[in-house]
Amino acid sequence: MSYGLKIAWRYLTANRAQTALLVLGVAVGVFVFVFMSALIGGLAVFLIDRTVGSVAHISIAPSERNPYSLYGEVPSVLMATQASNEQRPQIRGATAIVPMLRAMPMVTVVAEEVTGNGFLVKGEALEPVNVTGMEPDQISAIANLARGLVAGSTELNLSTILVGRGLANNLGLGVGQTVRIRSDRGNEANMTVGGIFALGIASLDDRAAYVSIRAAKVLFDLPEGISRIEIKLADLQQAPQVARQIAASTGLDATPWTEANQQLLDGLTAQRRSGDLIKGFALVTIVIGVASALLLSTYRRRSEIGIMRAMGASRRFVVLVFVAQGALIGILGGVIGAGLGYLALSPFPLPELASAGGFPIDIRQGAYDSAILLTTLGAILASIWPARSAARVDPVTVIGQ
Amino acid sequence: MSAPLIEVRQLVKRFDEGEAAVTVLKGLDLSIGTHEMVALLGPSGSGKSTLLTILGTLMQPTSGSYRMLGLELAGAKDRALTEFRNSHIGFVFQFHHLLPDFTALENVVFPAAARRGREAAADRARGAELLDRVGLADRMHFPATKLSGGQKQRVAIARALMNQPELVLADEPTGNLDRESASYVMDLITEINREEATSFLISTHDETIAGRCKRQIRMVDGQVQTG
Ligand SMILES: Nc1ncnc2c1ncn2[C@@H]1O[C@H](COP(=O)(O)OP(=O)(O)O)[C@@H](O)[C@H]1O
Ligand SMILES: [Mg+2]
Repeated sequence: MSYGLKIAWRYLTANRAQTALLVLGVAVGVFVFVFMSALIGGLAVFLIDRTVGSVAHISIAPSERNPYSLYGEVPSVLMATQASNEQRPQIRGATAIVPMLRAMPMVTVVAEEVTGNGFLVKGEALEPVNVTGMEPDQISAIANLARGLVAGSTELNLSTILVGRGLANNLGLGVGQTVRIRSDRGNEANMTVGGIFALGIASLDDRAAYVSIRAAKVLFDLPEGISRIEIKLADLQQAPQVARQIAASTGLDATPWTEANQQLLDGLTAQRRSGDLIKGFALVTIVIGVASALLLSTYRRRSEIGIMRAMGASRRFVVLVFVAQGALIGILGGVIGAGLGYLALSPFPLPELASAGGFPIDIRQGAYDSAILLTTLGAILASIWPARSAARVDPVTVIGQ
Repeated sequence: MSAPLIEVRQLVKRFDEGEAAVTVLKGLDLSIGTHEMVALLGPSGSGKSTLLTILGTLMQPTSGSYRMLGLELAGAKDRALTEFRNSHIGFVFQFHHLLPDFTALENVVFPAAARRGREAAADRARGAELLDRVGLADRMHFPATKLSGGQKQRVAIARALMNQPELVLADEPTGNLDRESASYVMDLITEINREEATSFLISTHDETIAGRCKRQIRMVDGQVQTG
């Protein structure tokens, strides 16, 4: 062991109560740091999960075929272009694209969908509906209908339909009842309500209905093509990059979830910044605490420092002894604080599993390593001033007495 | 006589305390050879400590020359002086000045460990041998604070000898001891001086203590007189 470190340790252990208090103070700062990290991270996971849990991470649609101006953007000229409506937007050749998408590393779910608008008719009641047709075995792959199911089942055949709870209430529908569906293509069919779901998202619960993709193809006159492909990723943060990749390789429009949720992302960024500010204050407190404690110690040990210098200890050696004390305090306080933080966080369920009223805090995001690292660096930084003042002690002034 | 161990020429030390400036050393000349044991006599306030502090490279003279082992030390840089002091000069102070959180042995080994950056086994062995020599073999691992005044001063002597210095400066080493302990400490110094190639310069205002040294010099009006 380095001799400077040995002396540093001796000095710290010579005054156990004082050192214990100092380390405890540092540990409390680290605890705040860890707790804030876990809370901010947990809130983000919770909010994203609530928002994005029921939608695709990337939605792939046919690219728009609107005419564009050959003149480009001319500031002084007002230009009108008419949207093309000669063709129904649809993805053709999905059978070639889907396997390619499935083979991409991040991609966990690829769902082909046929979507369209229409009305549900029950007796005199009529409600507009957004219909999504999916492969029956993928029915819970994008929006987790199975988790949100409140009645019936999610099994789909050619004549079953799953409806949101709001929609069911408005029409007075129950599981097993028959409802008439009329698509915007003018096709009609009678379907049986197989299940009712509540996802907690008004646009889905009040407006959405799910049918099998084959039923949807008939309803919306899309025998060959599909309307869109929805994708889930292993890491939803990667959505923008993966979407760009898909757009580039398929020529289709690929929209990541982030685009429609910019406000949420801005909110999360602001939240993270305020968290960083609080963490920064915690670090500053640690630095001030360590600096003042060590400065006090250099005054108390002035005469010993003078003796060491008289015995031929270099200024560097004295600096080392005090910086080592700072480092030891930082490491000890950091490890203890991070450990306490972990213990305090462990009773909380993960935010994605937290119940609605629960406390969304994420034990995985305690930032333990950076808490310990930053605290140690902070404590070393804090010790530099006291160490330099110790190294300047003039042996003559302390030996004379 | 070969080249002296230390050679001081026209040494001046002036303290400028605002208006009241005092000149303590006024052109002092002094030579000490190897293997010498010299008493520095003088009443309190005559400048003995000031001289020892300058010879110990802890303080710079106002002017004059101070050579030791052929090197000019007046005006040298702190870093060089620190290294020089560590290898060639030992101190024994009136107040033992041991490190309170260390054992007797750790105190003795300190000058070597501070130089190497670690406590080498060979240094610990020498430290133990020195403690044995000053009669403290059984107090090796005692905390410094648990030793008596005389024992502390003996530890301080062992520490001063740790790096085998050519010169040991002792500033009133017996000033704080009872007669018996003082006599024991002087016996030790005499014995070590006889057996090792170490010169001692011992300041005192006690004629009996001075009488045990082979040579006596006196501080008179900022200069030294031999005899
Ligand atoms: N740092 C200092 N500043 C001002 N005066 C000093 C200082 N150190 C010593 N002196 C003065 O120098 C004189 C000699 O002091 P000192 O060397 O301690 O004498 P001694 O050791 O012989 O008793 C005294 O008058 C003392 O007041
Ligand atoms: Mg004195």
